Amino acid sequence: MKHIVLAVLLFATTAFAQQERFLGVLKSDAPVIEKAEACRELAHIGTREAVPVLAALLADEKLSHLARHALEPIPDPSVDAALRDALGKVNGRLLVGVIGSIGFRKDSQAVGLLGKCLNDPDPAVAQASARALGSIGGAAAQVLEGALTTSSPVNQPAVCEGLLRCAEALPGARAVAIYDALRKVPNLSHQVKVAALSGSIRSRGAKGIPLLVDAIRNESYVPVGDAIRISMAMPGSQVTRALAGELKRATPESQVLLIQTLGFRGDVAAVSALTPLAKSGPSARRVMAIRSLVQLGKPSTIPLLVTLLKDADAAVSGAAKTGLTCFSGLEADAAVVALLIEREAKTRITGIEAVAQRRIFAALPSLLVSASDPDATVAGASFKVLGELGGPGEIPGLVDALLQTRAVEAGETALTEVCARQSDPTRCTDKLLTGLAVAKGEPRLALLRILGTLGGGQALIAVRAGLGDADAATRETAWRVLCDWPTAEALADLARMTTTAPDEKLKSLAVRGQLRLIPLQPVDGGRKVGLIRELMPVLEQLKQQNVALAVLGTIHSPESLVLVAGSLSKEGLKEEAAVAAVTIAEKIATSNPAEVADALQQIQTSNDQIAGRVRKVLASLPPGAAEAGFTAMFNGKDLSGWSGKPGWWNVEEGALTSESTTEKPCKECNYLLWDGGQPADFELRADFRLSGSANSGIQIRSETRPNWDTYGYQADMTGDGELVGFVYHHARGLIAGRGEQATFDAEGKKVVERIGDPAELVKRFKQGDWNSYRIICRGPEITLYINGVLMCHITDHHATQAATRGIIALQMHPGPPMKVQFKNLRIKELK
Amino acid sequence: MKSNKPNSSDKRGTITRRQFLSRGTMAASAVALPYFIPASALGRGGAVAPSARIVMGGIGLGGRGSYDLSVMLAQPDVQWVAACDVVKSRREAAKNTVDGHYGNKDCVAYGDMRQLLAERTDIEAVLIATGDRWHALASTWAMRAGKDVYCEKPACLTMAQGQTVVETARRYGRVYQTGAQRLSEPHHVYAIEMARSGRLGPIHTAYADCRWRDGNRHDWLPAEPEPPKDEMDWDLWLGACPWRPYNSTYVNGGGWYHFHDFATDVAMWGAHTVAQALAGFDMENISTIDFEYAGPEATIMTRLSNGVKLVLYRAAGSVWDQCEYWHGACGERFDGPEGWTAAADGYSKTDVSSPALLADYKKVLAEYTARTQRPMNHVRDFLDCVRSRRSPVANPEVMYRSMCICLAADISGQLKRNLKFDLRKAEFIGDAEANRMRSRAMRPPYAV
Repeated sequence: MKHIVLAVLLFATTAFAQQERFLGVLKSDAPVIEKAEACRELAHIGTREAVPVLAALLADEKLSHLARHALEPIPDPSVDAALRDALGKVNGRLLVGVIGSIGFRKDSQAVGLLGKCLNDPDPAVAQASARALGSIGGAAAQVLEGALTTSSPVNQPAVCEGLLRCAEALPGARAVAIYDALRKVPNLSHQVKVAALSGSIRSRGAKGIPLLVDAIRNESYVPVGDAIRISMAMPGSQVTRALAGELKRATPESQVLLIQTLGFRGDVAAVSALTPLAKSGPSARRVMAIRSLVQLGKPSTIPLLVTLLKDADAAVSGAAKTGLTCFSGLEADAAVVALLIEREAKTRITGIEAVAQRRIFAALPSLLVSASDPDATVAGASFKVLGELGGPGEIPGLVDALLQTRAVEAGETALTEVCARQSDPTRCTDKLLTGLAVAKGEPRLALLRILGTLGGGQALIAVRAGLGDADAATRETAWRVLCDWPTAEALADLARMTTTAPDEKLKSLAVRGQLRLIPLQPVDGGRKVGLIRELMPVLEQLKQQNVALAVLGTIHSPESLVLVAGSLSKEGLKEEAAVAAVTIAEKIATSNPAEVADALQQIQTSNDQIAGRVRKVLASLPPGAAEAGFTAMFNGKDLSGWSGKPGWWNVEEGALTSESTTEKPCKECNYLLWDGGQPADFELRADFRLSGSANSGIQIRSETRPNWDTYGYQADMTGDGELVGFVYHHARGLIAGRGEQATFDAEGKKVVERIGDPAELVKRFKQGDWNSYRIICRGPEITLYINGVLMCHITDHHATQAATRGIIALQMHPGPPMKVQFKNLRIKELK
Repeated sequence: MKSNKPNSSDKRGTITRRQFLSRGTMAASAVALPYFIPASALGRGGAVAPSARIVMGGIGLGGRGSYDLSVMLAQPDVQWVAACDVVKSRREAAKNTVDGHYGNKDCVAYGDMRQLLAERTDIEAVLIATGDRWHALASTWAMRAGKDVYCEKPACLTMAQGQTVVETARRYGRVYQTGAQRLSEPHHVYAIEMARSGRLGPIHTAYADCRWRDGNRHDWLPAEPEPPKDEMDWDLWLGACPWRPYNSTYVNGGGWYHFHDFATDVAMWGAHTVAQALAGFDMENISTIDFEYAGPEATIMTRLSNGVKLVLYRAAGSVWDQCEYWHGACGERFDGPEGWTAAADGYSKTDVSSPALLADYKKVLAEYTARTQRPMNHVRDFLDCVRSRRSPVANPEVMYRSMCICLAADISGQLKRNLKFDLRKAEFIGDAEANRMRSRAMRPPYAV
């Protein structure tokens, strides 16, 4: 208790101190914004003590409003006194404000003063007074009643507003008097007339109903609408019956309003009056009556809606259809289901659609009957709904219906949907097989296709049997179903079918089917790859081979990577192979770094994204992985293993070096020859550094010539970068440029495809620094990389000039003084 | 004041529906039938006779207002005749839009809504899409002038303003709709109906997106010279709000959003969503609501007297971010023992706890339509109600209840304490200071 007292005391002290502070601001010469803030705070916490300071501001042009804002909520009578006092001191706008505050506070002592203000020459003041008097109410009503006849037309609406406010707060009889007085005033605005009538009716309670009825009997639409609006605030069956009683007498337009309102009221007392209007009369009126009856939702309306479904008037039958479809409750369900056996097909379809929207599961047996309807549209509609609502219990019925129906396609769709929803679809198989045993024609084909969507051993046997059917259509359907089989169980069938296919189209389907199913088998990656390898020879089209590569890309094993790598340089396949290889590599880089390094280094791609993925995987490999299988060609110390023109080659800074100077110019080409052999398919890697004016190269698959000369292909290089990434040939010149893929046929005819921008590619070369060359020779192909980036590629089928093996040598070129250096030379023979 | 009132018998020939009807000259034709008659049945290829159109004007037609205008103009039974905006360029742009639509020059531009309301007795309904500070006062004036009102959200800055709107609509028999348009969008309706119909079991928690944090600044921007009154009347722009010096930032590009005088904080976004969350319940039976203060800008937990937790969700991030309850802005969600439903902007279907809950999508919406006979189109619902005289889906009571809850949450945030609110009396229980924050005095001459 002590604590509470203390807390209250503390709070009071704090609040007091705050108030003192804000009042201090108001009394000071602080800027308006600070005073405004002080008023705002005082509105929340101000007390009697604040009133004199705030009252003094009521005449202040800038602060009067916020002073009132602070005063209005202060719970102390001194506020009222201050406001009344201000009435005589302020003018114009400020007076209007003060009057508003008096009204807000409902100060009954101000009635006399405000009454005088009603006659103020300023209409804004007079009108504010009238409204304030209205808010005060009680005795103020008399003052306003007096003003009703004397006030100027411009002020009259405000006086009416005031009177209406008064009446709303007064007891019934007094309110009635005010409303009736208002109603007698001539020339009132429409809305005030409505307000007075509304009050007059409502304040009379049940006795106001005749007045309401009177208003509804008006000839014109707008007053009837107003009366209708009044009725909406009057619940109860008495009013409902009164409105219903006016239906017959009303004009057509008012009738529609009344009908609509009787629906909105939700009172079933209106049903008997609305029913005949739904049955006959003008179309629009009938439609409205139907809608209102539906809104009232009384089950006895349902038979009427059923009858109206067949009405000749499309608007009426449409409304009945919508109504019956939306009607709540089991009775409506029963009526809808009963429509399924109506004579007219149109009505049956209405019923079927309503069953769907209402989701009436009890209607499923009836729908199964309708699915065999002689009318194909009805049957189709039934199947559609069966597909949506059917469960396992409907499957036998659906199979039977499928055998008899004229809407086989819809039946197939429905049965497929229902079977697909079952947690174990193969459990549907028995029922389907029973049907298959007796089915003929289209239904038989449909059943085969449905079995195909389910899969499973039994289904497979049945479909497999279809391959040997006497009927050609059955055979083809069975074939196609097997090719689309969902599980790997059909693989053996497809393999067999690939060899026995009667035509290319069907063979192609079987091959595609195999490729699809191989990865789905529950066997290890090696086995899957083995199957694809076996399939490779029959993959005749590039498209199928690419599919095979894509499938291999999903099998993450070293075997699949090796198989993919075989296509990495094949035209038309290498893009897909690169994607597959890098995808597999990303998955098995940790377990098989050597295989990954080997495969990835064979990728030829100008696609930055794939190249980026390749670099990322390569960078992740353990050191040495990328070098697996390479043998050093140079010991880093001396010229052992190499032969060259005496005086021109030595080892400097651990690199094979040749240099010409002004004093010792190079007059003719000489080469440093590798003694290690004449490899055919290989990959060579070397780092090289050239002085600015240097011209050099690495001979590959070449021949020796007397006097330290050579003949054949050269991976070209110049110190300015100009010829870096080119393939040069002693007889044929520059046979492939940077960014080119060049293909030579037997006659030497060259076709070039651009695989990169030479200007961009040369940026990879670092002038005056060490760079690395990667040279791959494989079959007819030679590929060059600089610093890991593909530069050019040739495929050489030249009848006389293409070499498949040969010596390797490093070039020293004649010309201005230059220096060429090579190190880290290593080679791997490719199998 | 120059009168812009068109001569009702001039060659432009727009004898209004109201004049036409009240003269009793109506033939026994179908032209004035309420909304439910398909336009094609009128035999005019979908066109509605001018005399049967609802004559409309707009007040505040920048931004959202220009969007609303385009939607309403597209309705075949609307005849737009007036465009009012305190900003000259906006009222002229709106007039051009309207004139372009009709291929004439007939739309009259107004700078002051009081002139429009006083003169244009031919106008039956107005769109109000001013800044938030004007919503309630403009709605009140318009209804007092006999207009039906479609007013953008938030419908009021204070509970007192909201109450005035409710009373005025009731007093004059006016049709009023607040622009909480998601109440008329199928994905929201489905989420709501799943809650209402008991398919989720008794709902224990409802959520409303309130991730807007703004409207708390009290400072003044540096004074700039006021533009000429005809270009932009600053005093009129301020309306009933406290005076402050002019700065163009307030007027252009929604700069006013940040300032307490012109906007609200929780209520700014709650006005978009709380009505949706409340629509899942029978609000007539709810008497009180408890607000739990959890810190500035934190999610506000509330408890309705029916035991339901209503979460005014305020997690960090923008209202457009994905959150744990929905993706997109303006979401609501209902949690019951049998599952949950949620909807927000940009949905192609309602979010549900399990796909099976969507099986009844069409059925639930059809039952909703049968029961309410409302179109799933907020503007259309309003126009239909102008004709049928019933209350729209976002009627004054719906607006008032949801705004009271939003504004009470704002007050709890300003006072930094828990509050208990009597929803029927619109007053806090046992907190006098909170009750003093339910109104703001109005700056004259702008008054209710």
